[in-house]
Amino acid sequence: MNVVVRISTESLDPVAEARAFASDHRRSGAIVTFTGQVRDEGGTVEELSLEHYPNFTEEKIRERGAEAVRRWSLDGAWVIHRVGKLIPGEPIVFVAAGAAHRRAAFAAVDFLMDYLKTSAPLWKKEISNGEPQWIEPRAEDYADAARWNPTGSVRS
Amino acid sequence: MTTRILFFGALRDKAGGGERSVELPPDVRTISALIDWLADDDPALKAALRAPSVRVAVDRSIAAGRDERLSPGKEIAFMPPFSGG
Repeated sequence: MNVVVRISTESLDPVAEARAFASDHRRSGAIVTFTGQVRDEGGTVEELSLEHYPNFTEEKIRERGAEAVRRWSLDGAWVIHRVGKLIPGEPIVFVAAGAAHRRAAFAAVDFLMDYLKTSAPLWKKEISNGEPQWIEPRAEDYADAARWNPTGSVRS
Repeated sequence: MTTRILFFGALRDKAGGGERSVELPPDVRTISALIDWLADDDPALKAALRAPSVRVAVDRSIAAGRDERLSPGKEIAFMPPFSGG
């Protein structure tokens, strides 16, 4: 399958992943990769802690990756997401898409990131100034995700 | 037959743990009844589990509603709003 999904407690090396993706997509005319890193929000964030529902989370992300492959005729898509404890500056997510042309690859990565922010079974707890707090998507995140749906609503 | 209950995110904290193994009483046969039974002595947990934003999965399939029928031996997951990326 040309969709790869990995959820891992191991540290994520986006440069190594990008290299691996490229070597797996030598025939793609365009490769777009995205790396998300933990923000420190002006030095207030000490730690993030993420959890997932093993197998269920991977399955749901894989479904959406397959949808992206169909929608933009991708050669392949990878989603690698960290769980466990992370500190500011650490890579938390890596998404890559390979396609014949750049617009498809850009769109697919954007689509998958909007999905991950709002609708993938992941839960994020932020510890700021010593206080733990569970994070929920912001209104902008839902609005971003709704752009991809003709009805304008976020699907689960 | 043991039923496995999973709580994720903020619900894990509210439930005092991420997992419970329970024997369902014969009269607990819907998700709604399960919530009432699980949180019988914990109104805060009951309100949290009943929140419309909480999704419930039965054997890893999202339930259509709280009146979905349950049988013993399933895995029921309570999932608050997702936040990844």
